[in-house]
Amino acid sequence: MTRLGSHPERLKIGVLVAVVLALVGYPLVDLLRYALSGPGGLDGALRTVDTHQVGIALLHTLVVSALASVVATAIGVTMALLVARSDLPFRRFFGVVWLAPLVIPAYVSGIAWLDAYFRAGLTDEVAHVSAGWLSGPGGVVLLLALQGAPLAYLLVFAALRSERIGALEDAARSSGRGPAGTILDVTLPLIRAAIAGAMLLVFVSSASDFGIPAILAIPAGFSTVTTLIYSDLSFAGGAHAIASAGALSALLGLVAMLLLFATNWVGSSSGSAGGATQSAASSRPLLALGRWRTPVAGVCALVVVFTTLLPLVGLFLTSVSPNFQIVLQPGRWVASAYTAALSGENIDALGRSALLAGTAGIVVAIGGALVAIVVHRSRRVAGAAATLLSLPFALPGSVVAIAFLVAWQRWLYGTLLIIFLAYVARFAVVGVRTSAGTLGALSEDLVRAARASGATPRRAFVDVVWPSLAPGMVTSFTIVFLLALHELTMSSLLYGPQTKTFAVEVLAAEDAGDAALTAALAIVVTAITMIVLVGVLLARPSRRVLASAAGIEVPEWKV
Amino acid sequence: MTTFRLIPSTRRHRAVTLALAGCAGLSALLVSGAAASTKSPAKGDTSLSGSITVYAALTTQGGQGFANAFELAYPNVHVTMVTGGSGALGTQLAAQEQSGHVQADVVLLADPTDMDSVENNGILSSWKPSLKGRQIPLGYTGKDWVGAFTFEMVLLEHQGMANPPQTWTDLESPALHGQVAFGSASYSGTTFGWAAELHTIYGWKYFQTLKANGVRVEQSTTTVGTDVASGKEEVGVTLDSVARSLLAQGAAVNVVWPTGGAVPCPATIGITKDTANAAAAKAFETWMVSRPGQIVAAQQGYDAAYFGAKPTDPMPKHAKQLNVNWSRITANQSSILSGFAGIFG
Repeated sequence: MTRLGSHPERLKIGVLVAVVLALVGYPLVDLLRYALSGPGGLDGALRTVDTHQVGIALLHTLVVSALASVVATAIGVTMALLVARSDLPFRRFFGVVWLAPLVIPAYVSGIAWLDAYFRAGLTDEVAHVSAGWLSGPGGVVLLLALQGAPLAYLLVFAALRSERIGALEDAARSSGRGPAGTILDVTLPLIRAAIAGAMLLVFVSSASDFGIPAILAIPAGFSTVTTLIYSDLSFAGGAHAIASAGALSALLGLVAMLLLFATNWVGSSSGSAGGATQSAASSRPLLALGRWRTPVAGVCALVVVFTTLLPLVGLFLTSVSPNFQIVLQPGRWVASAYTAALSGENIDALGRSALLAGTAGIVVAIGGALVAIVVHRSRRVAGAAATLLSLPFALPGSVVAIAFLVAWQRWLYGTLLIIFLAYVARFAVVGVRTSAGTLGALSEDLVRAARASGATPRRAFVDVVWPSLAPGMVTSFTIVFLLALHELTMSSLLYGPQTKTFAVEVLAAEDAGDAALTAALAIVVTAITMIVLVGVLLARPSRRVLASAAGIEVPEWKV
Repeated sequence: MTTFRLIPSTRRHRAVTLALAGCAGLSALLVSGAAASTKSPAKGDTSLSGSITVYAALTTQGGQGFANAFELAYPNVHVTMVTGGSGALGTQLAAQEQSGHVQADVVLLADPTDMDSVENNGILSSWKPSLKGRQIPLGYTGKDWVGAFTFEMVLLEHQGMANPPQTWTDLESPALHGQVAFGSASYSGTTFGWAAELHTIYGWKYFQTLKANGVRVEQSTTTVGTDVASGKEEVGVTLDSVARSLLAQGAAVNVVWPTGGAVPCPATIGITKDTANAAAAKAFETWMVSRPGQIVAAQQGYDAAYFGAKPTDPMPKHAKQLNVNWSRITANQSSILSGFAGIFG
């Protein structure tokens, strides 16, 4: 690899280690220290953790996450088989549309589902049918499952593209095995690692989700660990609340790390299907649907309509209806909620979120590339530091936020800087791993050839490395921009009176009971996301971008 | 290893350029929005200037109403209102106290117990405005704060109910299963006051029955009000001021003053000891308890504490108020909150 500039290598590694310590090491260690030796001491922390309430919240979290994980994986596997192994009409279209829940912020999904299906919602207005149970554990499981299903779909779909699996399926079919037998006896056993990985991943992302339980569980009195941390800090306050949230966060962080190790263990021990990948669109589908092609496509379309389209319609109608009740006649619609959503504090918050997301995106894209270059050249210390940098992405956002609050509030409380640093810490891994992947795939021979042809190290970098690195950096920027624009969990714990982000304004409007404004704000943030994503997808369809935009770690990333 | 595809794409660059341009556009909007909020010239006391930040457990609209009225009286003072639940504001103030920089100049909370917590954290100044010449209701003064106006916890029903509840105990009726909502005692100071008073009268069994009757616990009294207005809930426990605001907006709701008595909660106000603009902060609190401030409170739909100013749709003459013992409730705040959280999560 070409040398970059004349700075000594040690200085670069020193800077990297310092950045990692400031962004990750110090906050997390300080969180542990605070939980164990903060107000009340060790006994105080244990008393805070060992309460009936925390036990119930933990149990709720484990149960809903497990159920969501099973349901999401079942849906994801079915989706993947239909797209990769069947002759379902419009399967490419469905393959993209099914990813929609990944790009709609979780809290927006929660609000949209209530506007569509809860009492006084769209279906209640049209057909007098409503689902009161949505606000409660059932709704939380359903929405978490629908949020996780696209992720499971992506992982299983990727596994199904292995040429080896395709060949074994062909062999089974040639030896007279039927389609169902082949799927049960050949396909599913071969993708069990992907299925297990998907289940664990959905479990972890569900357990750390805040947006959906915040909207659906808090009013029903159904606590989860993330809502409990939020309640500790946002409700009945005082210094004791911060200590309690700190102890709870430390506990959640430890549980999350155990689960993370389990995820990595499953990923490494069960092995992947391996081999080259094949095109998803097989010329000879394993599952020929025959006369069921149209009905199955119809069911798939209905799933899209009921899980994505109707909730968004309900959200829109709520945003334009006057006098608190859904109005179906366009002539009676009003735009006042949009006027409010795009003025005053809300437009300030939108500007703030755009500024935070834009700067975090730029810093992560550039910083991630620099870290990847240092790591690529010096694998030991720098590699360990970069691995540590991936920790905040794997931990729940609440834990990272509380760690930042504990470590930095003395100097940065209520500033945009503390939110910005938390965003950079949490999403840094996106930039590092994207650029690391680029550099890993780049042939050293090209650089050597450039140097042999007389190019200076700087020239070789500009001509050979940079053209490969730049597109990855653009991808990193886009992903981090979207993740930060949506970010609610950390922002809701770190904002101050002058630093509310747009997502916090959505939650505040929801808390204040302004349904029309909440819906209008949710529509605005979804529209911005869609515009950015359509721009990116028009440039190059990339499911990886969509998967990563959901804020869920894809485990095969390696630094 | 899974990596991103690395094919350079000018179109993707363009998309990101557009996104960045969008950021710039939003920043421009932000700047223009801030520039547009200039004040028109008005008569008033120009001896004070600068800005103050008021942490107020009010609706955004209610808070802004007070800010605008005060700015008319003191045209050179700019008021920034930070609104939210009493509990949330209390936590933010405690976090700020820990960080060594309290950002509020004036604190206005919705019940005495949360204000006592703020007081105990050493955040408030001992300065209080003179209430000479006013009839002071019982429980409307603390060590570092005074009562500003009164909230009343009442019942709100969606129009068209066959048999709307008339008393607090009617909420236990199986006929209302899954149709009742109230706020969180942890977040909303007035809901805490209401829960504490009903706990004193009926015990925790009352709330356990409500839980079994499928009651939903929203965050704020405003959420409860709008949910009743939309028909998501048939009945809610909320503030008379929320009900007045909904009625003024044409919502399909009726206020029910419970026959057993509404629960009155004093809004409490104090200034912080570290305020950078003590003169303006003191002026705000003094104005709030003055006749003009009390008239503004009544115009905003709150029950004035002094000078007898009345809101539109005031409390009916036949309506009763419960006599709340705030000292006892304050002494038991922690156990009451734990009991409530133990039942409702």
